[in-house]
Amino acid sequence: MSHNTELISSSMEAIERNDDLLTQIFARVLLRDVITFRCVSKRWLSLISALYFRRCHASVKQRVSRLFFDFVPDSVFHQEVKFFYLDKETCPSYSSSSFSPKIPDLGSSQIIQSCNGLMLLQSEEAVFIYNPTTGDKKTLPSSFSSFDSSDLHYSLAFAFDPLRFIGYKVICIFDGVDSKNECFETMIYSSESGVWKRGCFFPSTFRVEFDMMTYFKDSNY
Amino acid sequence: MSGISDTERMITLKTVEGTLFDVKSSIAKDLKTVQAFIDDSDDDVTSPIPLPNVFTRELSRILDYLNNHHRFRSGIEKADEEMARYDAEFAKSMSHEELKALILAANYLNVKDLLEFLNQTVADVIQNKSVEFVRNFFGIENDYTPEEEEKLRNENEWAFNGVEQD
Repeated sequence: MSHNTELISSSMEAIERNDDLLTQIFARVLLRDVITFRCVSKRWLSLISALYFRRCHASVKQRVSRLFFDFVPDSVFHQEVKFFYLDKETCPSYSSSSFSPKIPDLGSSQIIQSCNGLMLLQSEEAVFIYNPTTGDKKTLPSSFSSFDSSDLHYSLAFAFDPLRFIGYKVICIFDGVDSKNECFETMIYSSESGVWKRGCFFPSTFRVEFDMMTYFKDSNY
Repeated sequence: MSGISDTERMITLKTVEGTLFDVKSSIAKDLKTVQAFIDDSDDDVTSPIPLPNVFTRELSRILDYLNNHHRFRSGIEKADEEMARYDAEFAKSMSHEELKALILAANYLNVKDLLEFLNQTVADVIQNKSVEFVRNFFGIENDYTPEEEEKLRNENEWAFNGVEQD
């Protein structure tokens, strides 16, 4: 807490000048309003966009308010992303709050998954994480730097839960390469370490499709 | 250690205006800034502790809040309901200026629970309000040019729908 610095001035400092307090207040306001408040002043814009705030926001118990998205591929080259807003008080109205955030290379990339506000996108060249609220984009290093992956069949899943762990993880499951027995291998990318690490592998006792993995409470289903 | 049990010891606090408040040490524990001061002085605090950033009105409210909450917590049944009712009345009894002043005092004294409650109260006040309302509330000057603000609003148009009129 920065209260020690307030000792220096004998007059009361406005809350406005106290970043820590403001952040705590923002963390308790619904996300939709927080986005609006970026227009209050440039300082608020930078505060709200700060990573610290994003983490605070997720760790405060919120009334139910979630932003869901539903994407409507108009054609192969033009995917429009519609968001609708679920609130405890109002019913979800599909048309009233649709918007298209600027998703980079939307034409050439595909949305694989989203989790708690972050999206996992894949294009021909790379896989990246995108935050539609702030426009931040992070390209992940290639997970298969040691061998040619063009023939490999793999699936990606994405886990981001600020309440449980800092940063996010991406899991890649693929058919084992140099193995005598058929099995599935996993690679895990953690945003904290910034690298892919080999995870466990398990025998493919039956054919399993890994296309629709979902993260829920610590596990991928 | 003097052998007197904690709950009996009284600490004296002095506000900006010079008003003295006698506080039980069990309550003083919730004022983490004060507690740190006491710990640093090897528990040997006899003279009043000066609080140069805290006014009488605020300290009085804070102690009121803490005393009541301690009372509720040591009570038997229905403490939650009574506490919720007290909290609601407490929040309603203050003007926006008083609310802000209290947050600053609670922040300086590091009263964790009260601060969380007050921050939530302010969040409830600014919830769903317009940008102008929020600027007025905090006394912020708009430093965007009209063009910049227009651009930002357009980017997030969906979020502005359904905002309460001032």
